[in-house]
Amino acid sequence: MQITSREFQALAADVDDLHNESMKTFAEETAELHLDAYKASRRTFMAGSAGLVGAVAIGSALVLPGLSQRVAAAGLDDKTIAGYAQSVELAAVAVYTMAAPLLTSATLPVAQMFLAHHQAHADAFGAVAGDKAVKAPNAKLVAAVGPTLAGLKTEADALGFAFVLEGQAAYTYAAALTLLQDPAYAAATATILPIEAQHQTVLGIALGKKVTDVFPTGAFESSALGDGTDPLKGLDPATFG
Amino acid sequence: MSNNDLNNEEIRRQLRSIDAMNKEAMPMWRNALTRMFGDPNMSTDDKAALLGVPAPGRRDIFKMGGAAIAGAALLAACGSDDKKSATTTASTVAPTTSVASTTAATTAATTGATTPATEGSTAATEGSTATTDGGGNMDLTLAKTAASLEKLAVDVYGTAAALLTTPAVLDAAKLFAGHHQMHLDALNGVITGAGGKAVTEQNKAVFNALIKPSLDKAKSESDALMIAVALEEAAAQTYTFAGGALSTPELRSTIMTIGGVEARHAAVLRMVALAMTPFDVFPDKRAFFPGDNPLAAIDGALIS
Repeated sequence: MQITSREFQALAADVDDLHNESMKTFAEETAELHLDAYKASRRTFMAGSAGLVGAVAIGSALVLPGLSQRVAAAGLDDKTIAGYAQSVELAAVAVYTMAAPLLTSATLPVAQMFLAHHQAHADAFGAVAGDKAVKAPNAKLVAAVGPTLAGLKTEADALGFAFVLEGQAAYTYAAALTLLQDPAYAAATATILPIEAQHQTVLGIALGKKVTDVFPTGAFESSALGDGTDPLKGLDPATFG
Repeated sequence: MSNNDLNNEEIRRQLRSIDAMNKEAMPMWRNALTRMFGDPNMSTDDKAALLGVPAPGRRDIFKMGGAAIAGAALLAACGSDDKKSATTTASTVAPTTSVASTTAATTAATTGATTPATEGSTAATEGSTATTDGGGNMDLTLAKTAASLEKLAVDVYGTAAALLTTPAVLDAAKLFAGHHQMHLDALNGVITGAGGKAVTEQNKAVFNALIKPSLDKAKSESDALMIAVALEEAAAQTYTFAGGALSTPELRSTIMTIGGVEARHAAVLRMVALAMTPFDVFPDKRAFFPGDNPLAAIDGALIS
């Protein structure tokens, strides 16, 4: 699969406004990053639930009776999950922004569209997170990916990094759906998960990956959570919350 | 347009690999279906939502939307428990793009208490769904209707195959027809397990109302592939709707682990088979997958 420069250049103007819109608040969010990192380090809302959530594997939701009750006992309410999702989306915005200098005019418009998507997702989650809404990207996640981001040298490196992150985002939402109690929150999350999955698919095809490789977890999206080092697992709030 | 630099042999090899993964996944899907149809605590509305069919008292949220073929997979499979006559609608609703806009639909859709998943529930459900009035009968009706739609999909792929001139694309069509056949088999397993008769005929009412006009217009391989894309995207949209409508977090997550893959499937079809751009995967640069259920009620679509 190849995407021609002409095609992307022709579309660049169309998405430039989206990029500009999305970048309006980035500087402010970045400035607050370190402050939120301190605050985030004090949050313990996932205490005791990491092992439980991490045990959720592909398709296993059907055989985990009582999961919701145990999650509730761990203190993970829907607003908290929404706030966490918002912070992850804002981190994705930050990552795309940081990777942008490595992208050519051929790929930049697509990245900008994806960035705008993540900003929209963050806004959606933030709107329902109540007092759990955040103003900055997930500090722990940004810190965790920082060294890798700094080491990216080529456009392929950047797209490859985004490929993994998008998959992890999709898996995070599959896991989040096992936790969200309010159907309205679940409905919103359900409209976002396929977009992240398609992001990863598009990036994989643009990278020239085999078709099988754009289905990293096979016929089912993973609903497992991890510490960010496993590309086949979502981003565990126990690590990044 | 983008260029496709994959040769036919490579595509075939990759499709075989996907097929293997699909076969591996099917037992899980069948298990989920069995549980859904066998769960006495899952309301008819929730099951209807899962299948993408109208449910009693919720007609307002079941509207036709999206591409014409979207109705093929979202089809108005049944009306209500009292089998009131239904009419076909062609109204278009805006895609769901925010939490706020999904709230009303899902709040209305999800009624009754949530029921935790029950381990090992598969065996216990057989023979239990067809014995009670109302919900029990509706379980079988929904299963039969869904099966008739899967059979329809198999038949549509078969018919569209006549338009496919690229060997690798034809292989893909056969592969996906095989997938739908496996879905049909899984549904029929549930139906026969509940004491019903396996469905072997396509849903003729839906075919006549929605599919036939599209197929009649198809003149090229691209036309046929667009029908396939629309079917896959409609399936993904159905699951997205169900992801907010089902009664338990466990079911909602399980459905979306499938819905996400359907969305990937559509993206691959667009970019690899149809050589479209990434922007074609996200119409109007949409940031949210449609969560409304584009559905039309069609007389005779209900298979009881």
